[in-house]
Amino acid sequence: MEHIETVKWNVFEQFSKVARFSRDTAANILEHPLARPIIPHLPPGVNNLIQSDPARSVVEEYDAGRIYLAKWAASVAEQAEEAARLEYPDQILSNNWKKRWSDTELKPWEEETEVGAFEILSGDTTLPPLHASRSDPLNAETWFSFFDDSEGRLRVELNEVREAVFRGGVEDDIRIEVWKFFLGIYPWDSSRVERESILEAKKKEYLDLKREWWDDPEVQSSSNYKEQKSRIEKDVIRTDRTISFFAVEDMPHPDPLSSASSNLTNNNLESMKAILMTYNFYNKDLGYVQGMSDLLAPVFVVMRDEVTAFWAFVGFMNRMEANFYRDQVNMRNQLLTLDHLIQFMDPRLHKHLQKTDSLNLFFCFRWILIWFKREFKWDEVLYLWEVLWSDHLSSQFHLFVALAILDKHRMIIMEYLHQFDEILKYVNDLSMSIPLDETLLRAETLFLQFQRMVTAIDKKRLGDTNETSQDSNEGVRRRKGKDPVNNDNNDGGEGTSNNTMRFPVVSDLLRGLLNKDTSQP
Amino acid sequence: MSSRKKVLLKVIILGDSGVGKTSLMNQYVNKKFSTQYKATIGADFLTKEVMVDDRLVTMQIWDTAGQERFQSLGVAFYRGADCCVLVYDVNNNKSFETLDSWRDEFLIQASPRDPENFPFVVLGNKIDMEESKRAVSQKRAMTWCQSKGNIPYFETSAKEAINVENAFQTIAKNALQQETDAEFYNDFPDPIKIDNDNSKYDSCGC
Ligand SMILES: Nc1nc2c(ncn2[C@@H]2O[C@H](COP(=O)(O)OP(=O)(O)OP(=O)(O)O)[C@@H](O)[C@H]2O)c(=O)[nH]1
Ligand SMILES: [Mg+2]
Repeated sequence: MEHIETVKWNVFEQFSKVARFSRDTAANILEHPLARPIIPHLPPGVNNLIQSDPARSVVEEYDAGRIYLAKWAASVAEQAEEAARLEYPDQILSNNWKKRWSDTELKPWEEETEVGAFEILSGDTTLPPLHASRSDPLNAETWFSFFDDSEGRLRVELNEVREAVFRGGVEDDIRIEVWKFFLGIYPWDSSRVERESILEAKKKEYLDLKREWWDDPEVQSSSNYKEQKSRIEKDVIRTDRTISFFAVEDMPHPDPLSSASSNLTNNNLESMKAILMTYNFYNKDLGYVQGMSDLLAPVFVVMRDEVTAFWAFVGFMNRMEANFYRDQVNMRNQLLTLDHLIQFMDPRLHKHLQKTDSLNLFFCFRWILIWFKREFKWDEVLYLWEVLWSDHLSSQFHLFVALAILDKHRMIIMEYLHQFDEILKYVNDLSMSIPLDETLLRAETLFLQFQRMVTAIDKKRLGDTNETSQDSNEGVRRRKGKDPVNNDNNDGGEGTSNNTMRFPVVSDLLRGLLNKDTSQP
Repeated sequence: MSSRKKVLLKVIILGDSGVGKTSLMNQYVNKKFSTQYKATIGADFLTKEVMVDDRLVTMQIWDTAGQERFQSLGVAFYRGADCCVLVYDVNNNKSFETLDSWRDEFLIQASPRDPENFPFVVLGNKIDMEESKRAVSQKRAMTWCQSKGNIPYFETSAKEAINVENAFQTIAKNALQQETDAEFYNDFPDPIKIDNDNSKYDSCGC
């Protein structure tokens, strides 16, 4: 009951702001399922709007009001969920999932004959429930127990470490150590002594690299160097300046001729520039590209010193560098994979994105390029990245994180946002308000669901090619529309059996998502 | 009918990384300057309602990333633009020299109906910095603008809010003009088609 009160209050408050939008918009709000329970509480004048003006504008164009409404609806939904969470803390998420994939939620999809792979499983009641879970961050005690005392070698299966980090990230005090492993500075099978000598060697190697430009006036006078230098400078002074590590300005700028608008800097900013410039010489083909400073900043803050930060950054870049290639093929591929994934997991949302010309998924570009660096708060980014580095379920788990965020907002996107620009604005504005743990839980559930569906499809396909029997397809309806997943795909020579055609195709890009090995994305 | 229609003016801001696109947009829409703005990744827009010639219009101002390799993915929203704002940094020669390619790229990607007369506006930003750092003179910039069909030119500072309001008023005005023209064309799509059909018969009408 208290909950209704809150919502009601919210409606009144928001309504005053919405009033300046058209009556049409007002009617829209009140028609929203979330608003229905409070309609009886509204003053008659407002209530009348529901019946008013049935003729909707036919021309769809950008409407800031719709974004406003969408946000409002999202906040009401969030409050409702929050209230429920207080009452049934553990159940709420798993219940949501049950509901999400229950028949009732599936029905409207079926009417559109756009049901994807879910159908294949919906008839099967024997499957165990999916079990996604989060746990406490890995602490120092557990971390050190993974290594033997004498030589300091890993004495448990690497998978155990990966899973622990995946489930809860790591505590602050061991982060610096754990990251050195995940970012490839320390091999997993190294001993304590080996690690010490690795650090020594890396230090020397870094200084040699840095010397290539640091005290070479000839290099420094080249136009390429100058251009890269100013690029790096421009970005470093715009990167995470609210973090105290980068905020202070207590040092005169070393280059009075620089185009920077402030003549002050600090040591850490200068180290950031040095690391990026050295990387520019270390990876000459790539050089510095925008976005890299975002990837470096957390790594540097965690590693604390320039040398270790450089090598940790190199390790991170080894898996990220393709995002920054000139041809952008890798970015396109990831967006395409996400497109396939949405189509496979949520055909109805996919159709909506298609209708609104949004399938380029451009609003996910930033998410993927720098792994949600701009979407979560500082501490959360550290946590999210180590979860992603763990490669516990998939080396491309970030795409499931992307799917999870879209999934959470799917109803709102489909109901309120009718234009590419509206969706882009709404999604961009989610930044800094996405609850991370919940998103990770959702992402894991989606992954498990995905995995299960792929297995089920493969099994059915195998069955179909082996027998010609028609009745092995109970619970799977014939789709009238065109194949919802992947049109540009190999049919893998799976024969022309009609039965086979009923299943969504698991494209190569989708299959790649089941891979945990980063060396072959 | 069309006069009652809500007017949305789509404006695209282009220019090299770091010239101040994000800062200009925020100065205009939110009336503030912050050194905390991050390098733009992907694209975003802000909207603002303004009066132009006694008409209330909504400006949708698109801010994009300046680094060229990210452009290829971002051209989708060039389409339907009503005005394109080209920004350079008056203290940075290269950012001025690339204006040509920004303009060309825009015309290719947006493919406006009448490229010759599509409205551009050029902004030379960061005029608040010391005179000694200035790399592109006002005269040089104006000469370029004239050579491209008299593009309106403003010298601005997003930091000190110099000339920003002024510049965007012109941007809005020219965008509205463009939008009205486009609407006119849209209302009469037939003549073009008829022309094409007729050309079969009187192509030698010269
Ligand atoms: N002095 C001065 N500095 C400015 C002005 N406008 C922007 N800056 C600074 O120039 C740098 C770049 O500004 P942004 O607005 O982020 O540049 P941008 O064109 O959006 O850059 P990208 O997003 O990388 O394409 C920032 O450090 C700003 O603080 C100005 O008018 N005067
Ligand atoms: Mg910007």
